[in-house]
Amino acid sequence: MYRRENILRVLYHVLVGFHTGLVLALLCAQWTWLELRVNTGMLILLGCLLGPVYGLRKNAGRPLLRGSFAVLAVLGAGLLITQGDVAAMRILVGAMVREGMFLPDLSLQSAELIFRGLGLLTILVAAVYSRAAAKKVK
Amino acid sequence: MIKAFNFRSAGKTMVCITLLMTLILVLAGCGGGADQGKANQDPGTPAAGKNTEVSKANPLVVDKEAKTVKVYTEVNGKYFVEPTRHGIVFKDGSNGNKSILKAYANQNDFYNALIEINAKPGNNLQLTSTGVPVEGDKLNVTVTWAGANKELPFGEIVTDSTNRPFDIRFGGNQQNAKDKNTGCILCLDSCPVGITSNAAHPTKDFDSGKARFYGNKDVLPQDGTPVIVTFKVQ
Repeated sequence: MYRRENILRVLYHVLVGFHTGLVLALLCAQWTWLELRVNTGMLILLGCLLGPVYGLRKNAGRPLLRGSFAVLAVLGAGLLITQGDVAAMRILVGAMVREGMFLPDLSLQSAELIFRGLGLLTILVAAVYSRAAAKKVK
Repeated sequence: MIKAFNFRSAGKTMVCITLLMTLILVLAGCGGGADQGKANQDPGTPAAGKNTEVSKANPLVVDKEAKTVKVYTEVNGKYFVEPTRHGIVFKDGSNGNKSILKAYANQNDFYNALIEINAKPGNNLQLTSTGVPVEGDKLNVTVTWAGANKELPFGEIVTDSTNRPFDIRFGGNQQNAKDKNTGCILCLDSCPVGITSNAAHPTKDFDSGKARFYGNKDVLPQDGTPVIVTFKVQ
């Protein structure tokens, strides 16, 4: 039981770190000078690595709320950058995921599917983690 | 200690999760991305017609008689929505993922190919040059892909915020291209590293924000589609 909770905790923070890194990467890529010189997608990988480090040092309050916010923040940042153009937002997010995962030959559609899957997984993991945490408190 | 989840009932939680998932699926699933609805072509298949000799495996073809150089490239859909100054870049160069078209031929072979068809490089730019247009032989650059059924001028597949017509020149810059290894084959403003670049915009026009370039999503095929680019000395 304890081990299962720890796995959930690490997975949750990796996923939240992924989305946080993705938001930062999308925002940094708007600085064109930087975007054309550096792979800003690396922030995604950094988020995935730093997320669990942060999570193991500090307990996460309201995991479902935080996890959902992280996912919504990506969609919000994407829509803000593309001024509400959903098709452009999909391309932007897919391209950033592709660069962040160092898979330049992956199609944008596949990269976008990965984002969609990870978004849903994040909310599911956050919900399960929330329940496990609530049970522990009881 | 982890705090208990704050919603009063599990029912509310389930409603929230369902709503969030629906939102993600709706936002990610609708909108019909710019890369949809176009021909889904095999990336390994060369463009139709007379370009059949150019392929992923044979990405650079020189025709000395016709004075043309053909390069195999693939579309990078990212630059339909993000600005760039890179038109065509070798995929393994340091700027390999920063261009509208990703080339499979490297910039040094491309330079030699232009020399083979007797094009004369300008070599007038330094790394510190600002506001200087590139010189060298003028090149007629056209593109085609399976389903296009014709050669399109390069200017039709790239949008320029200033609407200036493209003036592609053989800039040369062989040593800089080797030293920097950016992979740059065609830059959209005058460039001291790119083998060819656009004299319609002097150096640093993009960096200073005077011009913005995007792939034309209304003309170009979807992300990953092979595109054959032909350079011809005018």
